[in-house]
Amino acid sequence: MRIVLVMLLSAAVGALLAGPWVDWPMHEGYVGVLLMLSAALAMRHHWQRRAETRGDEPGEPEREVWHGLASTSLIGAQIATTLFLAGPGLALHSPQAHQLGRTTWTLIAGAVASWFILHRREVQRDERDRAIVTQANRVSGHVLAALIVVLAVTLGFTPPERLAPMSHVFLAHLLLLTLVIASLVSHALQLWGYRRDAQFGVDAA
Amino acid sequence: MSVPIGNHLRRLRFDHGEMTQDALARAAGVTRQTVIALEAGRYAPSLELAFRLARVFGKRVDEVFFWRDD
Repeated sequence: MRIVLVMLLSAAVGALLAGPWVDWPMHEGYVGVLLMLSAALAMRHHWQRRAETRGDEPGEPEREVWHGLASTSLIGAQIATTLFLAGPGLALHSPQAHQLGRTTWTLIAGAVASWFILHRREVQRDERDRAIVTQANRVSGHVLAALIVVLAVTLGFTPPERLAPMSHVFLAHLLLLTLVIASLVSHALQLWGYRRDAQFGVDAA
Repeated sequence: MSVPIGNHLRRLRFDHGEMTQDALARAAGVTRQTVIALEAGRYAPSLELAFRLARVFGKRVDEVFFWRDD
């Protein structure tokens, strides 16, 4: 439930940043960066408190996956919303494409900066972390293959006159979105794996 | 969902001067979250990790881990 909530909330922020519905006081990329940094600081504080009071805070690898889920959802939704609003004819040298590029790269910089806020020096991964990653990546690999096949077949069987309005920028971003979806599946499954393993048995450590 | 391999890690920790989960994790080279998952019966360790955990307590593997008979 928490995994879906984080994914939806981050995606909603990404969609709001890309859409015309909110008049932001500054460039939406900077708004996104500020939100990411604030969320990272809040989560670091929250996990620190959980470590001190309940001792059930997530480990370093799990924190990285939470960060990956939130930032990928946000950036993916921002790209998807921009593509949806701009339509298939999105031209490379158009205000919308420039806006998309600038916002996306600003958000990626924000994701890297917020990762440094959550990151601690000693990152320890053990066999359980590796098993969780392997299992999740196996499924996300199948999802990626399925999406690519669907896209390839759809594009292959679409009549040329219907393909013509689609710009190469639009198609390139569609391909990028398949990677985003596969990455989200991997992150969500990893978090589900951690959640399944960590239900009971915490003592004061 | 628990795994069919049980263990006496919690009891062994307390028998060894009330060793904390964190101390056991450091000694075995895993995260504290993995020790929590092991004690809760939600994770079955590899053979290598089972040996490393047993060595921390100076025990044989079969003195630390056992097969659950349902």
